[in-house]
Amino acid sequence: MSFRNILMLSGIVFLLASCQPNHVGALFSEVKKNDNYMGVTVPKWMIRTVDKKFITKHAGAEEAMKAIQSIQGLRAVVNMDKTKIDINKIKSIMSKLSNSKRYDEMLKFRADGNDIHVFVREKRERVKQIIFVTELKKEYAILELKTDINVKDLDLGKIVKNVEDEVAKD
Amino acid sequence: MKKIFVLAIAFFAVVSMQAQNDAISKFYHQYESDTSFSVVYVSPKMFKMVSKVAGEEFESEMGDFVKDLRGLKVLSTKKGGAALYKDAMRRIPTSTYDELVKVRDGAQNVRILSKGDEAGNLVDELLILVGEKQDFTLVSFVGRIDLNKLSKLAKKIDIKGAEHLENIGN
Repeated sequence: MSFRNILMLSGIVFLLASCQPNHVGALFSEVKKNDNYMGVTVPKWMIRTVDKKFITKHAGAEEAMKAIQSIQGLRAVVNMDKTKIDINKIKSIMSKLSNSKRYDEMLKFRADGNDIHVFVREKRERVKQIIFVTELKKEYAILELKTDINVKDLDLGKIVKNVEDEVAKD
Repeated sequence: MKKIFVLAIAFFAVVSMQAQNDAISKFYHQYESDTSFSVVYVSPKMFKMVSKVAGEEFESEMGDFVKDLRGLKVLSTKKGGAALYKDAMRRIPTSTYDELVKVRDGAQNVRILSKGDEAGNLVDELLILVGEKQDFTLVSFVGRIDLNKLSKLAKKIDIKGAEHLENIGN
């Protein structure tokens, strides 16, 4: 295959990849459309600096560390005044997200004016991305976690048991 | 000819099962975006994930029950309960379910319906409908539901009408 053909193929692949709609990015942009927001991005290297010794005094530190270390990056945005956000636009993006083949809406919960949606992207049994969309009484928040973890590696029973033990101690 | 007849019956059974599930889904989707309703949706994938991460220490009564679930939908409101109950009873083909509990106490109506192998105390679907003058609740469980386990958990489930679940196990 000539260099020209390779170049053309790479161009096509790049074009196809960039054509894929980025619904998560669209959600973040929508919430950031007015000035009342606070955004934060935490890169992977910063998460890696969370030292085990900070949390080893708590039960279940090992499981917690496993979960923390699997986070490859985090970004969050909170808009303090949801009245200035186009909620219908956000709902339409969320509907596209839940209808897309890449994401699954895992959980939906609404009570007392609070609305929580959890979307997950999995690849070969590994959780790659978790998105929390939270509508509170006044605020609107989105949290995106980029992860790389096999859910089988997390012992939920152990975590729940440890939390119960901690609560019982208090 | 016999094969065609068997195939036709199987096809009809699948289509009618789908229609029943669709009736609950349609009813749920009609009201889920209405903010006067409290909504809970847990996807089959979420339950699958929970069953994967559940270790030995998750073997509590609740954990044991949740592990076999494949879907949960809850819809509840404190407005127009009687009309909604009537609407649900009209749209959901209740005749295709086995009736486990039916209570009419003044303005309160409770129906607990199931589908599946009731003789073995394991059912594939459980539907709880509660209608009062103002309040209305619909709970739909899908999965392998052990009625004995569920009846023991009745007190822990904070849903109107759930107390009647205590009587469904053997």
